[in-house]
Amino acid sequence: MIARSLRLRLIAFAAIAIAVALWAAWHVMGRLFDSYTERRMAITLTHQGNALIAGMRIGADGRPRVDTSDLAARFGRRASGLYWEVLAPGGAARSPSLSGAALATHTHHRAMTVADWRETEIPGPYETDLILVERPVRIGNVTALVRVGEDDAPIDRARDSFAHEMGLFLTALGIALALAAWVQVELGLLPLRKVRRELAAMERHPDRRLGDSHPREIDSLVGAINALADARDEDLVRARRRAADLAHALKTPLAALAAQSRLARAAGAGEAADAIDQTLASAGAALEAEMARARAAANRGSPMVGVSRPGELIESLFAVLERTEAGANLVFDSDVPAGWSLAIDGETLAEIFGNLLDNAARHARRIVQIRAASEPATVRFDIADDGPGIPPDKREIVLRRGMRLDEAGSGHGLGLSIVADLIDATGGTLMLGDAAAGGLLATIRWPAAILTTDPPPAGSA
Amino acid sequence: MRVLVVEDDRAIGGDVERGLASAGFLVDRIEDGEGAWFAGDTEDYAACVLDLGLPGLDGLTVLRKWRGAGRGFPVLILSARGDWTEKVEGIEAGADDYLAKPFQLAELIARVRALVRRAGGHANSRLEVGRLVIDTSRMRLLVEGSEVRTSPLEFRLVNYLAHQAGRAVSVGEIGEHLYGVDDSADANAIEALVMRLRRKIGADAIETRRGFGYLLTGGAG
Repeated sequence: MIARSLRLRLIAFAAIAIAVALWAAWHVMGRLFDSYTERRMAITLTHQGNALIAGMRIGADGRPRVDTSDLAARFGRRASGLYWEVLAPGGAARSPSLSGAALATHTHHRAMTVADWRETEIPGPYETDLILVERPVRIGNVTALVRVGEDDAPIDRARDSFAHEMGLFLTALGIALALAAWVQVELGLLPLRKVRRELAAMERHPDRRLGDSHPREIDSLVGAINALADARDEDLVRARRRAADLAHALKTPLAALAAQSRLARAAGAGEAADAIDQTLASAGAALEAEMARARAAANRGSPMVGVSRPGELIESLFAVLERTEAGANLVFDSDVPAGWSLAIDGETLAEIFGNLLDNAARHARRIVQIRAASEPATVRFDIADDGPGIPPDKREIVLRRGMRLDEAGSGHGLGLSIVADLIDATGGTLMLGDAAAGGLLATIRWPAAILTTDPPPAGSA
Repeated sequence: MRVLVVEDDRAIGGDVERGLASAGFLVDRIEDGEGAWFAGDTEDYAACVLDLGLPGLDGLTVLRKWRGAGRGFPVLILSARGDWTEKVEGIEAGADDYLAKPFQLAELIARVRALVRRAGGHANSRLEVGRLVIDTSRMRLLVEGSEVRTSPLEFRLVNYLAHQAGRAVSVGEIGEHLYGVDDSADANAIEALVMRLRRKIGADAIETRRGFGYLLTGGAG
């Protein structure tokens, strides 16, 4: 899931980086605190040691003697946590706080030379560790080792409490940083959300393109998407043109062949001419049907190229139909609002409405009506005539591939099944029913998303 | 009666020429757009059969040039594409009828005959009603001097009403004139027809007289 989501990926990486950095900071700060307080303690112990050396002498028996009057009172209390010890070849002297016990020794005492104070840590006499400073001191010809130590338990306690408080603070800081990272990621991804919105709009309105107000970083992506959309539009237009050219290339020879058949008939070969005519008629019908199917296939799966205004288109189709033999005596009536646009290209929409209206005109008695309605989820067009209609049990048959009820009406108009194919390819449905006036009612429904409406012109009611 | 046939395919052109000639027409046949433009511009024809896919100028351009120059003879378009967009383009360019290839020669001859009859079979009269001018010789309707495109049925209705000289005409009488029968089932169609006509010539041009019918006033002329 993280691999697929930029947002999750960015936020997860930021959270991990923040956690690792804060955890390392917590550790390093604990260490620094430790070494700082230990150094502070060692300095204090050194001062005590210097006071000890000042009041120290070697007795005649070779044992060290120490004047304790200048030393801290804690040296005098038993197990006070503050201890001293002087080791000389002739004997040792110890602070009363040790109660006669000796401080732990380590092996390299003999190797030590007269130098400055040396800091170390040893196990203490009463179970806790000691911070110890020690140095050899030469008095006359005797070298004595002076050692001063203090219990480090208070340091440990201070460090634990420091670590606890620091931990709380760093956790709060971590949360604040993670929130900041989340806000940053959201803001950073806003332009992509805009691209997504624009792409969705492009799907519904194929003539639209992505805007040019995108961040520089995704400029090339936006450009590539727009170029792809342009190329697809051009491909589709080219494919249509090629199909039209093919139709022209095939239909003209068919018409020429028809002329030859008439010559044959005139020469007395009537039966042969009949056969040729029959073949020509079916070839022409097949050609027309396959062209329509090719158009439907070209539309299917790819968003429509262009936008059409059904109100104007339907009036233009009326003008064509009013000039046909069937349409000359009919009233064509439409209430499609002039301000409507559909995200379907003009040629496809012309085929859909042209063929349905033509079909209605060939069966109507007096009137062909087209009614439009915008419903919450769909936009609906009803094409009704007052002709004989199609009985309910035959409606499914006429919508089936390659079927048409009136084989006689050749040349003009495609079968309803091909119109249904075209409507399906544009994301709509075709249903057949009974018109109020008694004829066939063809109802097209498209998703409401393909409809855009202009505001009515100013001044209109 | 002279008819112009413009078709670049010799077999089809020859066939159409023979067919029209045997139907009694005098046929001029031309195979390219430039030649067709010139012939239509300079000669008087009763009708023209025009193929759209021509070498040189295409058929639609030729038709637009003729109509732009005021040449009004009826034109029947022949086309191989046969799609609705092309039919709309053809009618909007000024064609009067449309036939898709491959076609039956008998149908073509019948259509040419109908075009010629429609263009020439009317009494040459010019009626003025309000701001309307009804030109029956060319089946044209003018509103304040500019032509309004009407369907044949719409023209017949406005022409009939215009001839009733200020008399309101009942729906039944209109039905009888338009359809040859007075059938109450036709009332809806006639009402829709009047509505469409009003949209084209102005709502006030046809008044409804309750109980009597429709009266053509032509609006304030």
